[in-house]
Amino acid sequence: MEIKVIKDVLEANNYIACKVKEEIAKRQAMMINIIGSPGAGKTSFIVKTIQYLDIKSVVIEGDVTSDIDSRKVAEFGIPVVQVNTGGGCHLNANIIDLALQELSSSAENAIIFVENVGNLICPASFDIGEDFKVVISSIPEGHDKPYKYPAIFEKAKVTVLNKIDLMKYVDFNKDYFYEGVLTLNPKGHIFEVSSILGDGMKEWTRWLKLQFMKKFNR
Amino acid sequence: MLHELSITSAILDTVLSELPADCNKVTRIDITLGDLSGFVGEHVKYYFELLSRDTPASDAILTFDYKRSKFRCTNCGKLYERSDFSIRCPYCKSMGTLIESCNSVYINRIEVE
Repeated sequence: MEIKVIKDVLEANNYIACKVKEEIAKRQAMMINIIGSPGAGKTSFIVKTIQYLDIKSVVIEGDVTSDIDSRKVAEFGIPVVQVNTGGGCHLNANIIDLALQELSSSAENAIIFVENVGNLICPASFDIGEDFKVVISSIPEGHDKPYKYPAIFEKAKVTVLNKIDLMKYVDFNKDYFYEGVLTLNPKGHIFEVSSILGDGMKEWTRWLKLQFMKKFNR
Repeated sequence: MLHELSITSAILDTVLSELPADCNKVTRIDITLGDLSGFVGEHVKYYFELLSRDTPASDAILTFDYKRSKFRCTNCGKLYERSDFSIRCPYCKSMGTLIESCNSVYINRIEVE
């Protein structure tokens, strides 16, 4: 017997993601899903971003195991919740739903930064109820990332090109990188930053603050 | 290859949830796989064999319909598909725009006994 299904296999995850989105809106908050390879500089980027912002911020740190990144964030006095996937290579909406319960009132009127597990494939497929995705690619990783991992560059509203201060030491073809990103995502925003030196952080955080203000007509 | 584990688990869950109460065996699963999803059919098959053990889907044959995303060249206007390391138009080498994105994984139909 044949059964027509025609169903997205991530329907269950997407259902919870919608619930998370409603919860975020109820809290007058905005959630950003930060995605990048291991070593792209996600944690440093989040910390530097929060230092440049004058908006209440909290962090959900996702890792396969360990609390190294959440301890680094906590050192700066930023509220943080660590979630471990226990082998899973991405966060899903259910994990975020539970983390939000733990954050309770600290995640109200705030920007919630979610650092996904270091990976450019699966996190692109699993929505977590975020307002938008930010993909971080760094200069030493090379200019071919949009071509090798097109899904995330297509879905991310923002592409951050991190470690821009290392450009002079690395054979990085910026035109090729930009061409890949803009072909997949012509309406996307690209910011070049150095999370260590602070280059480009003013432009990025000015844009981010505007998105936060616009969401609730603040 | 690890990346296909979660998606395969989701495929199995979806299939089992569609199985009618009076059926006890899934014999075939037809899956549509978008090229931008990054998932590989052969790897899905590998994990499916492991995950479906002792379930009604353990002997199911998996078939894949690979959907290719479409780009339109901004210069010559031709439609084209992406090659692995280029998103440029293969005819005139100009830049294009993504007009049909295939990044999802769908189950189209299953056959049961």
